[in-house]
This record gives sequence, structure tokens and C-alpha cells, in this order.
Amino acid sequence: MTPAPASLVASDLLKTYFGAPVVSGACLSLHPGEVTALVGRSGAGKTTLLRLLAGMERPDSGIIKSGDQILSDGTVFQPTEHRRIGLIFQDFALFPHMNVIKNITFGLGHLPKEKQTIVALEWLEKLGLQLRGPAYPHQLSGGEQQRVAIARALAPNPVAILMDEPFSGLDPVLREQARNAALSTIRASGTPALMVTHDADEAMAHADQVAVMSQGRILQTGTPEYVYTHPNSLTVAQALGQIYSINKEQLPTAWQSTLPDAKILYIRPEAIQIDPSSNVSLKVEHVRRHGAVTSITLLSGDSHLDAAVITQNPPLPGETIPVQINPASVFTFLENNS
Amino acid sequence: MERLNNLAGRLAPYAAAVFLVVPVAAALWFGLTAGGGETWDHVLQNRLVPYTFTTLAVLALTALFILGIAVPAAWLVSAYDFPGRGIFDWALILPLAMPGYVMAYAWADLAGVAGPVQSSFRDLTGLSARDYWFPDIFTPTGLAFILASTLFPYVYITARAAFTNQSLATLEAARSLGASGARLFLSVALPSARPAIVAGLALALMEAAADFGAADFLGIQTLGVGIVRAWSSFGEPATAARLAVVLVSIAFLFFFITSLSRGRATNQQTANRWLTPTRTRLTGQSGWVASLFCGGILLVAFFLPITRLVWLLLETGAGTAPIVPPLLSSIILGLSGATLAIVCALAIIVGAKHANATSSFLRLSVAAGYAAPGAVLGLGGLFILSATGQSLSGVTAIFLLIGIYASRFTSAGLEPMRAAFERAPISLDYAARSLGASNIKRFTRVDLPLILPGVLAGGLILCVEILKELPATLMLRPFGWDTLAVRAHAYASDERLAEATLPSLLITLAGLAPVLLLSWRLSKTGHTIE
Repeated sequence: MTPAPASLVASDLLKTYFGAPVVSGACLSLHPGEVTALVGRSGAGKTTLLRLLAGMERPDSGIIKSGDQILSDGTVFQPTEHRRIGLIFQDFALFPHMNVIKNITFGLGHLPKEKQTIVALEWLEKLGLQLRGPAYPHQLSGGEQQRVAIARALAPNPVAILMDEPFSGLDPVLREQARNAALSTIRASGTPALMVTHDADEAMAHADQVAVMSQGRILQTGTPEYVYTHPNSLTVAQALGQIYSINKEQLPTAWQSTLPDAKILYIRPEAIQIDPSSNVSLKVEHVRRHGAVTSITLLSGDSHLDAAVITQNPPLPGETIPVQINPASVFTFLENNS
Repeated sequence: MERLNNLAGRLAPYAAAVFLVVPVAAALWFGLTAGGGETWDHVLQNRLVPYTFTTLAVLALTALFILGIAVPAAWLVSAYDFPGRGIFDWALILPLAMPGYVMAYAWADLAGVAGPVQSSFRDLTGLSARDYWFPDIFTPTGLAFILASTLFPYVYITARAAFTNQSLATLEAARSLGASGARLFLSVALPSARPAIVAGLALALMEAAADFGAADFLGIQTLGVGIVRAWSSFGEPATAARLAVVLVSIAFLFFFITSLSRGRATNQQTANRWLTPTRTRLTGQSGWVASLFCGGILLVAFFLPITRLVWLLLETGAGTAPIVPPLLSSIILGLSGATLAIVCALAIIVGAKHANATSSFLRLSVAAGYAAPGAVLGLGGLFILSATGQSLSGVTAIFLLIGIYASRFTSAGLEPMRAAFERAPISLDYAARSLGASNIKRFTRVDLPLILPGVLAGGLILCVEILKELPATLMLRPFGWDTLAVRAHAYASDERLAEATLPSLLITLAGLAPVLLLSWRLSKTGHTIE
């Protein structure tokens, strides 16, 4: 019997080391069937938050609940081994002395032996590893090892699954495919999932929800689309993609009336596009192609404007090109306008 | 219950550490506080100063010999190709199998006036024994030669590792800049390998300082000999304890040099790829000179003494002394001592890992037993006995001796286990916990299987070390518990060398097992290149 998956909710978590807060007042909800990406710079407290959720660290204060069940609060502290939270590590942490089946059945001690094997085989099939059961971890490719790690974590029906940089150990060529397979399996299992990542693109493209963390706090949580287009602070905007600041007076006068009323504006490079119908033309300083996207540095007043455009015929430095600005990708943040 | 369990797990490593440190602490405490009996002036003038001076002189000479043997050999084997290089590469470790005292018996016989070396010399030259000078092995220089012959592999191993791995990129850069031969060695290879050489040398000298058997047999009054004699012949426990303080200080000094240099040596290791450096081929005469040098070392430090012992054994028909009782004692003591040492080592490694303790107290107490010479630990054991009002007999003495073995050698067994343990990242532990595994399940299903190969390797090393141990066994064994080492020493000291050969050869044979294991492991980790 499998209980219906419930959300894993953490509220006001505080963790200090030697008096310095590493996680301070973090709130986060992981929902069944959703993958939440936790992004932020290194040192933001992402891994510590994950360790708190997993029970590897004891929070100074705050509450962690799975559905109605309290995993950690002022009086209760369930250690990792009683929490039923699946973990996936960057190095996969497969037991090197056990074969794939044994690795997967490790967490199934509560089931009779035959049932353990059946469950393990089911998971192997779901992940396309039917033939690898007797193999040992060192005989597997990186992608296979990762799938075994996922099967091992999911097999005991955890209340949540937490992943610390789960894909960064993989070959870039394999990564995309491995990521899709892994995350769709996790979603299909209905288990709430958290993925710590430093890769904003990974978070944007693969998560159902992103949570941006900085200095021990969760600054904003929402769908990738919403958080990207409505960042509530500069830190959040920076965590999810390139953004740069410019003094509004330096922009062409024709644009100024359409833009927010602030002294300093923050612009994402894709806000500026080549538009032959535009009546604003700017001089090109540098042109650099990064695969599909070409970044162009333009001169506006005394300042530089960066544009990320898709074009078959990139302009040459020194040319003057007609450009338009999309106000939806121009932001203003209160805290930085003083 | 859980909390109690956790507490026990947290305390286990400290309990083990205290257990290990007690004997050496006892010896030092008595040494520093001992009053009564002999006057301090007498001890100082007749014992402490001459013994210390002799010990330091022997150590200095040993260091010179070791450097002269090991560093050139390591450089030849790593930088050049010459006839037999592939064999010398690993065979130069073999002398480690022979305890110093066995080497001393063999060479005393080989180089004696009636021995084969001098007889053939007289036959060749027609001189009589009075007409020429021949180096005397029963001198401090002779002792240094003996100790260097068995201990040089410590430096050979570290120097070879440094030459083949660490400075590889530097060596190639230097070659590309036109340096070769002596200049490459002196200006690039040697300086960059220096921390490794110093670490190996300090370790070898620590072992040399701990020697009792060779010095006692050759009649050299080192501190180790002094301690045992002060206790057993002169009945001066306070003197023994004071000598022990000096000897432990010397041994600790070398131990700290080793740890310091080892830290520096690992810092240098930048590349994690094992590349085979291109070795320069030595052709013609220079190739044969290199072979002769390495072959000569092997002959002097291994094959000649072994052959002589085997010869003596065959010639005299194995002597008349029964070999089974001491063999049995050795095996029983070796197995029990190794088991206790492994339990201590496991408590320290596993406990320290789970308590997240990187306590310097733990490391220091294990090191204290390791760096303390057997004579000092034996003395500590005797002090513990007298302090608790027990007598040196029966089961008490056997347990005490086993405890002393654990104290002395736990560190030797710890290393292979720690290496096995460190290959298992902490994430495995968290993975097991996240899958609901209890402390006991984690230990039996994850930790133990992972370190089992290390435990077995450690156990083998421990058994052999205990088999070779002489001074502590000599001081603490109860009646009827002579080990092979004690027997060999007793016969050799009585000038009944023929009867000493069989136990000596058995000890050496057993000693070969861990040496071959070491050689195999070095070749696996890429320190040896084939």
C-alpha cells in the first residue's frame, strides 16, 4: 500500500555554524510530482538546506513536515535513517561492493526477499536497465550509474527525493538525455523532488518550480517562466540569466518614455533586437557568436548596450544598425535605486 | 537506547586511543618522576650520555648509508633503462622482509674471521688473518651498515615514487630545456623529491632507533639495549625509564619529521595521471655499472645473508632445537595481537568517521604507540604490572603482551584500513542512512565489506610485525612462551648460530608476505611503472 504523496514543507529554517547563519529563515514547499530546482551562488546555503531537509544536519529552529507528519521541529528530530527521504549525490554514491540489484534492494529491508527483487526488477525496467541487474557499479557507464542511483532512491517509496548537483558528474553529451529520463521517472513516481543546481539553464529548462536562494534565504519561488520574467530582486534576476544595469539617461530618448520610471534600469540582453522598422539606430562595437545566439555590443550615449539576437547576417563592428527594445525584459529594482 | 548506542559509538575511538597510549605514557611518567635508587649523576655519566651518544652516532651513520644506497638506486630505476631494471624495480624492496637482528646474525657469520668472505679473501691473496685489516661488524659502523641494509627500502620507495610521479612534468620541462644526466638529477629531480626522501629517511631512522636485536647481538650500547639491560641485568628500573624518555624523544622527533615532510610531499603532487616517463636507455658499460650497483645492493642486503642462513641450515641439519613450540607461540601471539590491534583500529577509523571527529588526540595516541620503540613499551608494560601489583606470569602476562603488541602496531594496521575506508566517500554513508539503514546495518553491510580487503592486509602486516618483534616480547613473555624471534636471539647470542637459522629463516619468510603485498599495492597505485 502506498500512501498518497504529500508535500514536503520547510518553514523558517535556521542553521548557524559558529554563530554565522548559513540558512536563515528559509521557507520551501516541494509538491508531489513536481521537480523544484534550488538555484543560487555557491555559499548561498543550498547544500546546507538540502542537508537539513534530509536530516543530515539538525536545524537550530524551524519546522520540516511531510504532509501532516513532523520530521523536525523544536522537539522532534527524525534522523536521516527514519525520514524516508531519497538522496541522489553528485558522485551517485552507489555501494561499490554490491551489484545493481543489491544496491536497489538495500532500502527495501521491510519487504520479504522475493518482493524486494521484484521491486528492483520493476525499477530496472522503468529505467531501461533490465540487463544490468548483476553488474557492479564500476562496470556501468556514468549515465547507467545515475539511473541506478535514482532507482535505489525511489524504490523504497520515499516521501521526497533530494538531489545535490545530480547531473554535473555526467558527460555533457549524455547529460541532456540522462536528465530527461531521470526527471520524467521522478515526476511519474509522484514524489516531491528537489534538485540543487548551480546551472540556471538547467533549472529553467527542467524544473517545474525554481527557488532562488541567497545568503541563507529563499528569495523567490515560482514557475521558471514567472520568476524569470518577474524577478522580485536583482539577485533573483542575476541568478537566472544575464542582466546588466544602465543609467536611463544614456538610452535613446525615443525609448525612454516606454520604459519604467527609474534612474537605473536593468536590461536582459534579449530585450534589444534588430528591427529594420525601428527609428533608433546604434553603432556596433563588438560582435561575438555563441552558437545560435549572437551577442552584439552597441554604443548608446557613453554606455554600452548588450544585445542577444538571432540573425543569419551578423553586423560588422562600426556599422550602425536599427534596434528596438522590449520593455518586458527591462526591470527596475527598488533596493538598487538609492 | 539509540542515544546510548550513539554515545558508545562516539566514545569507542577514544577508549581505544587511551588503551593504546597507556603503556608509553606509563614508561614516560615513571621516567620523568622516578626517584630513589641510583643517583642521577651515576645514571647520567655511566648510562645516559654514552648510550645517547652511541645511538645518535649509529643513527647518523645509518642515515648516510641509507641515502647512499637508496637515492641513487631509486633514481637509476626511475630515470634509466638498463639490464635487469624491471626486476630491481620491485626486488629492491625485499630487504624489508629481514629483521635487523637476522641480518646481523647472517653478516656476523659471513664477515667473521672464519666466515666465507674472509676465507676466500685469504685463499685468493695468500695472506694470513693478521696481515690485513677487515671491517669489523661488531662496531657502531657495523650496526649502522646492518640497519641501513634492512631499512633503506623506506627511502627507496618514497624516493622512487617522487622521481617517477611528482616531478614528472618538471623533469620533462627540464629535459626540454636541455638538462640531462647529473644536472637533471641534482638541480631538478633531487630538490623536488627532497620532502619525500626526508619523510622516508625519518621513518627508517625511527625504526633504526627502535632496534634492539641487532645492537644487542653486536654488543653496541644503544639506548634500546640500555633499557632492556638496565631493567633485566642491572635491576635499575629508574635508569631504564630515563633512557626510555630520551629514546622516545628521539623516535618522536623522527616521527614528526615524517609527518611534516609527508604533508609537504603530498602538496607537491599536482597531476593525478600516472604517465610513464621516458627512461633513458643506458647502453654498454654504463648500463652494466647501473646493474652492478643495484645488483650489489640486493646481494649484500638480501641474497647473500639469506643464502648463508640456508647454507648453515642445510650444513648443520637444522640444529637440534625443537621449532614447533616457539612457532606455535608466535602464531598464537601474532593472531591475538593482530585481532586486538584490528579491533582498536576499527574503533578508531569507524568511530572517528561517524563522530565526524578528526581529533588530533586520536592521531597522536596511535602515533605514540607506533613511534615508541618496543623496549620502551615493554618497560611501560612492566611498570603497569608493578603498579597494579600483578606478577609477570601466566594469563596476565600474555594479555599484557598482547596489549603491548596492539599498542605498538595498531598504527601499522591502521594505514591499509584507512586507505580502504577513504576510498568510500561519506556520501555512501548518507545514502545508506537515507535508505533507512541503522548504525549496525551500515557497519555490517557497507563499512565492513568495503574495508575488508584493508582489514586483511592490515591483519597480515600486523601478524608479521608481531612475529618479528623482539624487545617487548623478551621483557614480557611468561615462561614457556618463547617466540621464534626470542629463540633466534637467544641462540645467536649464545653463539649457537646454527640453531638460530631456522627461526630466523621462518621469520624472514613470513616477512616476505607483507613486502610482496606492499610491492603489489605500489605497482597498483602507479608508483611502479612497467
